[in-house]
Amino acid sequence: MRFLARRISQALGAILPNAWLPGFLSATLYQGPLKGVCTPLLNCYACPSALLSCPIGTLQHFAAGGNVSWYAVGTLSVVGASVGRMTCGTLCPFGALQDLLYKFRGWKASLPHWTRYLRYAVLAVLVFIIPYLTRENWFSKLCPVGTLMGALPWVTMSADIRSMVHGLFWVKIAILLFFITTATMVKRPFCRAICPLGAIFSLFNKSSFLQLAWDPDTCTRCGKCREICPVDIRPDRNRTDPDCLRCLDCTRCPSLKLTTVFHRQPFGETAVPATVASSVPGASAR
Amino acid sequence: MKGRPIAFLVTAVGAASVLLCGIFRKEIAEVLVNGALLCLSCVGIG
Repeated sequence: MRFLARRISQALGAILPNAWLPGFLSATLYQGPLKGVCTPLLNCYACPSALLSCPIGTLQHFAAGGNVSWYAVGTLSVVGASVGRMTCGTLCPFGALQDLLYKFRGWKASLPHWTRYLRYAVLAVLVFIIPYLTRENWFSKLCPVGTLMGALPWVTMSADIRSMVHGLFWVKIAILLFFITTATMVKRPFCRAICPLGAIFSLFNKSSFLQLAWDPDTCTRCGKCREICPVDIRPDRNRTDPDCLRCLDCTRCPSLKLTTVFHRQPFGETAVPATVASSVPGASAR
Repeated sequence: MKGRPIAFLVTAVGAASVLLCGIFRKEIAEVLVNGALLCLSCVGIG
């Protein structure tokens, strides 16, 4: 049921921020007031049906002008402080696509541990430093989400834009194909290694309002939580892992549940360990 | 563990302050203008 709920929320995360369908029919962009709102998703604002603005594109735009967008940083911080990386796990359309691609049968691999640090370098270098130095949005130039949601529809719809295509477009296509291919073999490669938005949200996983709770008394350390985890982590070992997407797939196990940062005993009173319980008359272990 | 609620409160207040700062600087208007124009970098022609 939770799995189905996540699929439904991912579908809504793809549809609702891209609900301006006249954009596809008339080959125009939505220019209404909602474009002033940054979506907490990696959702391309060049998509003809996009209603909201891309936060990473906004950060680059301000960095290219020598500024910091307090509005975009604040929006992402408020969302991160509330739910951590939950939007990555439950709403992001590109994350949903990678989840689906991994379901293809075939050779599977795991991502090296060091690659998780790449996303912070991408955030610092491609979103802030290089746009500041070159006055150009370099992450957007390479972004596979932009290729999928912005470049491909526009090149298909508009002859004018088709005539302006040059080498960069094909580089973007190659990057998109690389991540699509890799996602059939590795769980969410883009989210874990590259996504600058995920890098921002992962900074909040330790202190966000929503937290994952683990019950050591009922956990058998079977490792099934890692098998079903879309990013290959062990929530029983680290509940606030920066990679954790808070997708809640692991909460199918009764030893894991969603709680809040203020909830000290989410599983009720602490159970008496079995070894102690057997030696204490009248005590029972869960 | 005990510090997490405090860390959350500090983060939440800081995040809300940064957001309000951005709103008072009228950044929404610039985000709106930027979002209303076609991002040529995203399309791969800029």
